[in-house]
Amino acid sequence: MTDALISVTVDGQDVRVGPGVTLLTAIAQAGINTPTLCYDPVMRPVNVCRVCVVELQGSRALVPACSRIAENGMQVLTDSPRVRQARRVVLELLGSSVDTSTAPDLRRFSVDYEAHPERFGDVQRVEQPVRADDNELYVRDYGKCILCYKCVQACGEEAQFTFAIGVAGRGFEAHIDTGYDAPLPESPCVYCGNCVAVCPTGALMGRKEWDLRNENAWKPEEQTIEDTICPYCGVGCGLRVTAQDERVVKVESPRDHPVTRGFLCVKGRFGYDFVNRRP
Amino acid sequence: MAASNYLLARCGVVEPTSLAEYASHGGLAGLRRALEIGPARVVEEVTTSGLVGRGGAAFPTGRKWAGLAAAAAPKYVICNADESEPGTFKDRKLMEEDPFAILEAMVIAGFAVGANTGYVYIRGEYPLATRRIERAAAALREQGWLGPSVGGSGFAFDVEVRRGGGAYICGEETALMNSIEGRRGEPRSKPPFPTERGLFSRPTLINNVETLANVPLIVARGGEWFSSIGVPGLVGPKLFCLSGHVKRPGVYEVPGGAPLRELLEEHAGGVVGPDFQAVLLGGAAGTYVTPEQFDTPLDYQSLRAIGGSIGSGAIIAFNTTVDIWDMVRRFAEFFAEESCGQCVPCRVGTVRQVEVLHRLDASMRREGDRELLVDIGQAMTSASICGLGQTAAAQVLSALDRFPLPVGAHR
Amino acid sequence: MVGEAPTPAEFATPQDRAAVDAVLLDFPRFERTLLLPVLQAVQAQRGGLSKGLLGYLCERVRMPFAEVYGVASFYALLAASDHPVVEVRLCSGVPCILAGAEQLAETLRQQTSASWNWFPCLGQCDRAPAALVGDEPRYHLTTSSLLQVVDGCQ
Repeated sequence: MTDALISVTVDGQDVRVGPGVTLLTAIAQAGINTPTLCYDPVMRPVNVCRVCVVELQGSRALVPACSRIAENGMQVLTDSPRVRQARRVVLELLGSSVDTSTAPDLRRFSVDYEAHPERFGDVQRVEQPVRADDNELYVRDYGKCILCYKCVQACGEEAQFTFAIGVAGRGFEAHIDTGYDAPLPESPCVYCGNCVAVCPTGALMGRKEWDLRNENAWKPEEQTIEDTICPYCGVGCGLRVTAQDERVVKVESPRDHPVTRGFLCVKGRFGYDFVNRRP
Repeated sequence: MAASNYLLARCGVVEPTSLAEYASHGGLAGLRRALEIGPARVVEEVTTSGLVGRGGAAFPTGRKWAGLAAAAAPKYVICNADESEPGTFKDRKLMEEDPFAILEAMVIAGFAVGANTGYVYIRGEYPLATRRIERAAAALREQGWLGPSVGGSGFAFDVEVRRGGGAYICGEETALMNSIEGRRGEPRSKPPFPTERGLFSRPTLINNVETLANVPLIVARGGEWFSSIGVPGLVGPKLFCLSGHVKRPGVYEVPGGAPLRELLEEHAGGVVGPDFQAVLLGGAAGTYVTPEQFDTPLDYQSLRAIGGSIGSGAIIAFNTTVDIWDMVRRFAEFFAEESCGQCVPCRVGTVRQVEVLHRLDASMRREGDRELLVDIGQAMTSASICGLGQTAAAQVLSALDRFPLPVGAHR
Repeated sequence: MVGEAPTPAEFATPQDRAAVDAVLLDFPRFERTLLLPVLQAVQAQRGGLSKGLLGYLCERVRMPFAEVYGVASFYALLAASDHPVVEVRLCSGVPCILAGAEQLAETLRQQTSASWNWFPCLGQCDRAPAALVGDEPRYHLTTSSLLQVVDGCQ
């Protein structure tokens, strides 16, 4: 196999990358940041959010950097007026249709690209009841869902192979569903929370965090975050534990953890009540 | 008036379920010649013909076939019969009235590119076309023109008919493939293209019904002959679908390059009502053409000069009594209803378009609404995954270009 | 928690099971590619695709319920979609509107008890106005011909 590097031009800058990498990688190598929402470094790109689109010479439409494979000689613009316009409108369309209050990346990009979703006025939004009471561990608020597909991927072929959820419906009515909106206990869900781990908007959120936020008692500035190892089994997954007021309030796994890649099981992610019990 | 009677020659003339009548009206001549001259010569003829796809994308058919012929087996041939573009019904007519021609073309295609299995994906709302194609396939099988040894040649080819479930987006080639695979009809990103990775991740040839209808003629009479019909900007005979305010709605065949006016006045009998206001050319994904442009020849080059395209071959005519912005809104509603929902620009953009169009009426319109439509439209056109999102704003932007906004005060 | 609640298949009626079993006899070697034809055949038998029906089908063909529901709910002619299964699907395409489809809607509303809904372009624009009555398109519709067709189906 040849080790020949591929040469692409990003905003006028020459970049050398190995074969088979995406434009996103090439652009990062040029030291340029690309906004992404549906992209996950550990899962196959689905390129549905369209926020990472770039201009590629020879292509009529803009192309998604997260999934387009770099080819020798490609000339890419990441900050042209066309790219900025498309990204801004994508962010405005999202901001006008879902609740972005717990979507920090989306909000940050909206500032970067001067997105003003309120300019559409009073328009159709994604209306969904919050699903909080069919289980004790996590909450589904699809009024915040941007349909990035990451939860479906994590529950499916990219991590858990449980297939408890899927995309249902079509068009603006498309939504995440267990099938006929069956309560989670009727589904194969094993409460691993890997869907929660990958959700970029807080549509999926641990119950503890959700409760605290509702009480205005979720205080990041007072929280400590520590890495440790899960006590439950011999795999020894890496845990990133958030504590507030000397109680564990959230458990994640670092997305760049070499073994777990951010994925845990129900015990590691949600089995921390015993830690919080004090005599 | 330019005459052309190749594609529709048997329509309404032969009993569509009779293989014998098909054969006695020129049927199977293409397949017989194909088996004689071999796959490579067949691909050559199709390439020489200059045929480009008739589904709307206009890709050179010979180039697609050559790409497939060079690919590794197993490979598939698909007939895209999901015709759902508003104002389009030519494929319906071909399948209902000359079904054997489509199947003969598929066998030729399979033979030429080295595929042994074909799928005919027919929209679920065309039950008669489905029955006719299934019956024709059964008759061909009975006579050995489909099966383990087509015409005794040793080449195996057979087809499976699949019915759509009611989704315009399944006319998009990769969405169609996902549908055949038992998935949601969501388009895939291209590249990779179907010729490289298509149905079941195998190299796949997918052609529109009308495109295929040209193939037996090309192979029987030669690509050279075919290339002499029409004009460089649209070679060969072309079907157009006339509907709306014309006296004789229907499918009409003309050589490529015939002027739009000829179709409206001579073939379709002229306007119903006082006068033509405009036509929507190419379907809901098309553009508006107004009377001073009616002499434009219907070929890709001439139409590009007026910002238009052949599209699906649909021509919907509006007389001067029509509230054109009401039509624009209805076409926009179609796209909002049919968006698959995968990508943000289309899923949300199609809805936002409709919302603005609902209030475009003078009393409710806001400052900046025109600019808002252009902004949404540009993002949809630039950033959507597939052709639906990329063309859903075309008729809106075209209308903004060609028609004044509804008269009256705005806030 | 896991394993205590019913699975969707447990909502299937004996008729649901019989219908699925009968359809699957026509598809002895089920693969994913046959899902849409199977769903269409099951709906043709039962008139709908209820939770129990889909649940039992999923058990038989060993596919995840959410996945199959995701496919079934995508297609407008299937009962699991947003489009209700109705007796008359009246074409809302522009050529049909120009040919008087909205007057036909009034007729359906006021003079029949048939279930009906608007449906996107049926491809019968040269024979407008049109409707799908059951599975078959009817075209060149007038108030009286539509009433005849609808009455014939009641």
